[in-house]
Amino acid sequence: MKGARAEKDSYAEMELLFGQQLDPLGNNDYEHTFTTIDNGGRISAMRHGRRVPKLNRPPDQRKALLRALTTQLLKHGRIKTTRARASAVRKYVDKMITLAKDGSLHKRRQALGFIYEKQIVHALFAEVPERYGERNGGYTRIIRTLPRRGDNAPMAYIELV
Amino acid sequence: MRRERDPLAVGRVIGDVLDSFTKSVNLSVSYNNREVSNGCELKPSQVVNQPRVDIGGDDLRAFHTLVMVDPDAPSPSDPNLKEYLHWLVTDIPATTGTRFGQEVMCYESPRPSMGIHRMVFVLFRQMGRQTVYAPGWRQNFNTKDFAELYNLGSPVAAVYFNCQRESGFGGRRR
Repeated sequence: MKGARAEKDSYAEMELLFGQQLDPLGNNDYEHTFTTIDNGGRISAMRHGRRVPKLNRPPDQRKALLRALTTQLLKHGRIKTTRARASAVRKYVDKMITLAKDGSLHKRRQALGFIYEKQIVHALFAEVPERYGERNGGYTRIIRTLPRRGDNAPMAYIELV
Repeated sequence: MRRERDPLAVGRVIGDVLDSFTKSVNLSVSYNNREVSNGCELKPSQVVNQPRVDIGGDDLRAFHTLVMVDPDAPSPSDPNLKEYLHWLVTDIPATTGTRFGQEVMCYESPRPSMGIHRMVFVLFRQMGRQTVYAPGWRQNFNTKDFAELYNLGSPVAAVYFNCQRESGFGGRRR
């Protein structure tokens, strides 16, 4: 297709054709799936190979954030947070509910080591068998909502099913 | 892609409070000129007074009943008082508003203490002008049984919004 012409109308034309922004610093060839940014990193449109959501935090803070979010979700039943955090916390909430389904002392102590408040663990172990006894997995639901006013962050409600 | 697009089904209003229905009458609820859309967030201070409700339809002789419930009382993680009845207005003629109806249960402003609550407005079409008796207490109200009892059939319109306690001490400011 077109070569690397740095003229405005050619970029506008390609934008119209492909419906996406072209970075003048990166490659103009439409076959590449990733663009390059200034510091040499790569951004892909897909999730290939990304195992862990890092949430822009170092590991200790990340763990604390996820623990706090699962504690609050189990306490309140429905919370509003950013979409990245909501989809990251699903795994941990499901793990906690699975521990409660098992119900043994060892599992209870494992849950106590993760959730910040004791009362919530005890309440969880008491009510999970009847509430989620028949459901296999998928104990949460995410509903996307309007972006936050201060920084336009995409928000979502996450709730226990 | 997600199969359900209807906001009422995504927010599980259909499922927890109502069964699936087809909307046939326009329902517009607004608090202080701010219209309620499905899933929008309102603060308790904004919903202190009763809203302005306008219903569509075309026949002035058709009467409607409006019910406002909270299916997440007292907390969404443990809704043992579900649902809590906030407002009940009957005998509303079509194309008018709740001012022209009979307020069986006066409006109680939502005061969620814990969690984020959904507040649901449901509109039923009445068979004729009937007396609807107020239930003895507001909690443990069941909308489906209520419709069954007074022969209201399935709802003709519904809308819901979210409401959570405004951050007092220790809350994070948005």
